[in-house]
Amino acid sequence: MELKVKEKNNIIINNINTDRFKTNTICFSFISKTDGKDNYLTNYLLKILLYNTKKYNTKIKYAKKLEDLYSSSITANYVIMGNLKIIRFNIDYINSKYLEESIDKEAVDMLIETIFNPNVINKRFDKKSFELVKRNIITNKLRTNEYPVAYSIDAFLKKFSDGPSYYSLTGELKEIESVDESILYNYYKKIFDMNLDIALLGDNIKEDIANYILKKLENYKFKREKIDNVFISPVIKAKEIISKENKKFNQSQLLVGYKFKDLSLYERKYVLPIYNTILGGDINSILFKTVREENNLCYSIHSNANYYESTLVISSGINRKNYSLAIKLIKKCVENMNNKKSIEELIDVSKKNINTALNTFYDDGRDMIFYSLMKNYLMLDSVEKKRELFNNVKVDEVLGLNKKINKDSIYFLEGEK
Amino acid sequence: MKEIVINKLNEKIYETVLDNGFKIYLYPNNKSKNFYVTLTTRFGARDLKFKKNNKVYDIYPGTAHFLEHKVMSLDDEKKQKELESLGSSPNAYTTYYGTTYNIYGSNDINKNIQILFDIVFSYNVTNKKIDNEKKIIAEEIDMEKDDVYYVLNRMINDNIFINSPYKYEILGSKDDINKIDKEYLDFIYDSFYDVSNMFSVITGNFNLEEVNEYIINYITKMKSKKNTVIKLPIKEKDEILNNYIEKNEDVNVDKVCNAFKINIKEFKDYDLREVVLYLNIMCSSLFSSTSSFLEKLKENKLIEGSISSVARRYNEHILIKIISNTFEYNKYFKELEKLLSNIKIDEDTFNRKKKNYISSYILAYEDIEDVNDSLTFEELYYNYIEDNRYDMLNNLNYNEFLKIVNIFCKSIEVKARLYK
Repeated sequence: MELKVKEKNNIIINNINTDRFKTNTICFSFISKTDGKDNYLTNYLLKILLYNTKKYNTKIKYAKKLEDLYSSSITANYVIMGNLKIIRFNIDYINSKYLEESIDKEAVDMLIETIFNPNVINKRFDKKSFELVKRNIITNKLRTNEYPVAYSIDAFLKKFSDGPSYYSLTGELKEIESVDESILYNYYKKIFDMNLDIALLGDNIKEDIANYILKKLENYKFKREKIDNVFISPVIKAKEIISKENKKFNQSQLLVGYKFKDLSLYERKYVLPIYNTILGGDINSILFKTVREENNLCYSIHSNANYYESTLVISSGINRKNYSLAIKLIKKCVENMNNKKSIEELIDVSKKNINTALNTFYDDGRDMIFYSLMKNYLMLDSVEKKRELFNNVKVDEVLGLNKKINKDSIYFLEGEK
Repeated sequence: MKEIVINKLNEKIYETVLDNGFKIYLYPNNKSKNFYVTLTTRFGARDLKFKKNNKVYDIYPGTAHFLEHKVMSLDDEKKQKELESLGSSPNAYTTYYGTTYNIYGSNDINKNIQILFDIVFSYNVTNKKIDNEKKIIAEEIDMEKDDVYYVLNRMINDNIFINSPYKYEILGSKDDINKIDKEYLDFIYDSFYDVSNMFSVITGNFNLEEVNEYIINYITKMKSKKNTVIKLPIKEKDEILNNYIEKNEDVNVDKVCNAFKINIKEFKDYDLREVVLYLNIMCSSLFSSTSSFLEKLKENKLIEGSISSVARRYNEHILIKIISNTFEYNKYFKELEKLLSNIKIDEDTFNRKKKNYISSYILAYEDIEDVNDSLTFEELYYNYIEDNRYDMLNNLNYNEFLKIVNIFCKSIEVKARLYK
């Protein structure tokens, strides 16, 4: 894998040359710090930009153009990492090696049209398109009630999160309803205040494509701010908060959250993932063996660590009558992380699993793009450096996290069926 | 080893068939750092009746999936430790067509193959373990039941199929799995987990000759039980049970499904693989994001989100299912009926959709797990690997398409609705 970097007009372009894939990907990433309060506007914006553009001013015209480009696909999403917001627009299209023609420049044109030529008149998004997108967002929000896992995660994060992820990624109903075409357009203009980093990934993407992109964007003014300190220090509660809700589902959802105080950067990036894998990473984990295999209380149980926020959440689907037993067992598993013998028995397995997971980097274009664009913002090490550091994590370092762990929240969505 | 060259892509699959009937498919790709090993038995959720030693047996729905759980239970501590030492991730899944056991890893492929094969071929279970597993699978069933689209699909299947095994869910019901005991499960395992009924697919980074030799050495040491097991097809009727069902469920917008059933004999002059492709092109033309029908319904606030539609073959019938979220179900049904009674798809649209399929074909060989899943499906479904799909796609033609669409109009319809 070969990487070349070009900078002009405050835009950074990373050209990643790899023959691993049959598709090329162009990714435009807009990056800035965030407090999360505008999450609902970001969600809105991405949906409307992908609905249509000024040139392809109906959904059908937009969709047909992509089909003409051999079913190229344009996606947009955003993620929050610590207090960093990353808005990404990607186009994936077939490499010219497999076609009669090259469609590199058309793919660039289509992506730039999507982002920079929205269907706007007089500083307002087109009303008809806006109304359709708004209705879709509202319906999707109401439909969260139909999905117990999504519903429970949303509800849990309101009790648990300290940073921007406290705010729903899709927004609350009142927020969504308050947006109009002009408010959304004013928010759209703010993306030009964000850092713009671009990645081109594929087999032999020529340098003239990077030059072509820069030429197309030369009349726009972009900023570039230094962004650092993206990690969040969690707020430790004096007492664990327990909240419950009832809904008409067959299965109940249980989420148990913990926060770690004063983790160093090394502990966040390397020790916490090992701790997490031992506790609830996969079928070898303490949670899986105790709660599922020995006590048959669930089909799935796992833990997820967020090292940007120093948190760990255990989630499982259980029968409501097993709530008390499940809590007892989960807490026992977390206490078991104090047991040196348990850690010694499982640390090598967890390292090996992490090593296998690291290898997926070489099979995943999105991972390669993410690393090339975000390594400075998030202080990411290369895959091989990560491997070295993970392999060197000591038992005592994992045990050391037990002094820093704090109970935080329990949320139980009780099924009534 | 026979080399199968995938047309147009220059991808190569290597096939070996052993004397005992076991098949090996290998797809080396050294651009990846990992490998994916699978071992599959041709025993899936649709297999509900068989003959062995001249006696006929019924199988409880959900048995294939239940057996998958017990085969893959990793009770053997030694094997578990070996897997752990390699950092590999084992898993398994059951479809209507077969049950597949897999390992994803990056170190010592032969060891991984040995462990996976040992796990599958050294099945051993007690009644206590079976009872414990019933609780776990009961939770899995409850998890599925909380998916409103699962519920909708169940309603359709219960009414569009009369005898077909596709009427039953892969997991079965709690009542079905409660009937399972050791004697029964051992008997099923013995009948279907025989090397003559199984095959392995390996994709990713590995040495071709070395791995092929390793598997041959492993499998040829095993004796085929020489089961005279014959799967008995269950004849499905052309009729349906009820043409409309509705159910009260905790949904915010009505969920509806229109399903159409047609016997494959209506398409006797055509290649059925092409028929399914043509019908999916029809679905995409009528209901995807390029469809004016979809746009009109959204503008008139009749539906929300997208319409999903798919055509699939279920033994001797083809089904098309169209699923949507609607604010006014009666009006929606009328609009859909109007559309389907007068289907008009121009040649430009047809050619554009054909391009989509060609793209998908090109991209099918990107991911080693996807390739493995695809080869596994083809072997289960067709008993061979398709090497000429590109030609088939390229040769799809508009006139034939119109004839297929015309025949589709003879199908019977079932409607289902979930409402608050």
